[in-house]
Amino acid sequence: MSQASLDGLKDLTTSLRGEVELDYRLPIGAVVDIYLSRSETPASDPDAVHVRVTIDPAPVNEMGRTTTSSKEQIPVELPKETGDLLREGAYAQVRITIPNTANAVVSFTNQDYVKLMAWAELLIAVNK
Amino acid sequence: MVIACVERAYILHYLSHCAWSSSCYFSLPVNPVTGRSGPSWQVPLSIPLIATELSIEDLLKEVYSPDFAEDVLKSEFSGTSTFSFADVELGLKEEIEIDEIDIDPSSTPDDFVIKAKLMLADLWDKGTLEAVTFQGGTLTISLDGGGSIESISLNGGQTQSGSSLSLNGVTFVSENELTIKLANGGSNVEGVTVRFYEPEIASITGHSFEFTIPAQEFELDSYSPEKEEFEKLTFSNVELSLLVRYKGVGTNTPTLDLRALDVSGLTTPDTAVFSGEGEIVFDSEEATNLLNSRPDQITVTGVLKTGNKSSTIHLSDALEMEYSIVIPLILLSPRISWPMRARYLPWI
Repeated sequence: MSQASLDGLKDLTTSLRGEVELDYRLPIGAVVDIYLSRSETPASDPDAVHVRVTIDPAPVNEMGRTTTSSKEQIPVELPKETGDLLREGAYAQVRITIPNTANAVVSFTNQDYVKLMAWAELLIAVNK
Repeated sequence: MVIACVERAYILHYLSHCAWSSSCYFSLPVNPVTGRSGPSWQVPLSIPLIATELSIEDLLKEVYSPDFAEDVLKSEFSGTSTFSFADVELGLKEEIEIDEIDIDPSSTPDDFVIKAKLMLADLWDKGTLEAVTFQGGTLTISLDGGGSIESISLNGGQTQSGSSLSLNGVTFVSENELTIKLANGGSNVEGVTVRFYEPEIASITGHSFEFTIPAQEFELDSYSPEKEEFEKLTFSNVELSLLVRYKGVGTNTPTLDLRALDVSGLTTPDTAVFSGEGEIVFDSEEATNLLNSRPDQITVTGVLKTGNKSSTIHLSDALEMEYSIVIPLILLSPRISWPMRARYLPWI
């Protein structure tokens, strides 16, 4: 999508919501932080739009290894500033942090992964 | 739903107008919602913000931000190894030849006494010895040039008959005097040879000692229960440290200079000098490379030095070493520029 095509969308409504689509296969939960910013280093920009999602661990067997992935679609609230960012070029960055809160013994294997997509959904008024 | 109903009502209104009016015309009526001609509607627009896939390998090798280290799950493993100074090969000489002897002025042919100086500096060259206390072993003296020994004494202490002296409880200082009484005169004596048999040292006092420590091996089995599954992984940001504790019975314990230790080839930092207890933190990049070579063990060898201030080391004193390896599990993705490509938005 070109910059010009976004510039043409002047009538973005205030109806703005986000959705995080996760395909998660780690034996322990995690915190996903998504940063949107005009800064080239969004994660370190204190003014970045910040969305946080908490993920539950994927199913594990008795040895603490994941057996399958868990897929989730998580609606998130997006701050109003997101709309401004959508009209201009910006940068996105995601940080995945595994908090130190687990007591159970788990085993990471090379089968484990995280697939993550985040969407912003808004309503565009046509001929309005 | 409200929007959909408005649109449906508008379309029905238009169709009914066309069906029942006497003349069906194609100029659009005014939209009751917008006040303009033509329909209006709202469409949802989904804009991708981020799309990424991260493997467990990424999780371990990507950029690590120490700012978040406190709350992050870490893979940690550690182990302890202890050795006492009784296990350290001190390297005391077992035989000393003393060429300079003095004949006691009070000597007579029937009561001939010679004196020899035994210097601790001749006993050990791995530091400055000020005192050595023995708890066992035997010192024997033989005469160079012939003669028979009737009795000996050390530093004016108790005289023992014969050519041997029990070392149990004996303390040598920097300069010691051996008094040797000869049985049949000593005109031919040119020197004495002192031998230590199975000496058992209780403590040594002095400074600037150098000990070659016995190799300490830390097995790393515990860190790799899933070793086969992790063999292709590359670790990053590994923290490796060695906590060293001096466990001594006395109060005059030494300052430890561990800069000459070799911990599996890692560079020991210049800060590895302390008393009592201290932690040596190794360079993270070197530690990471070490862990990525998948060693079976971490080995500590090399030389332990003591400071230049006098101290006493009892051979029952011990040095406890505890290694710790930490691998933080945190991932910061590469930056993704936005807007993303149009293929994600086929309706635009």
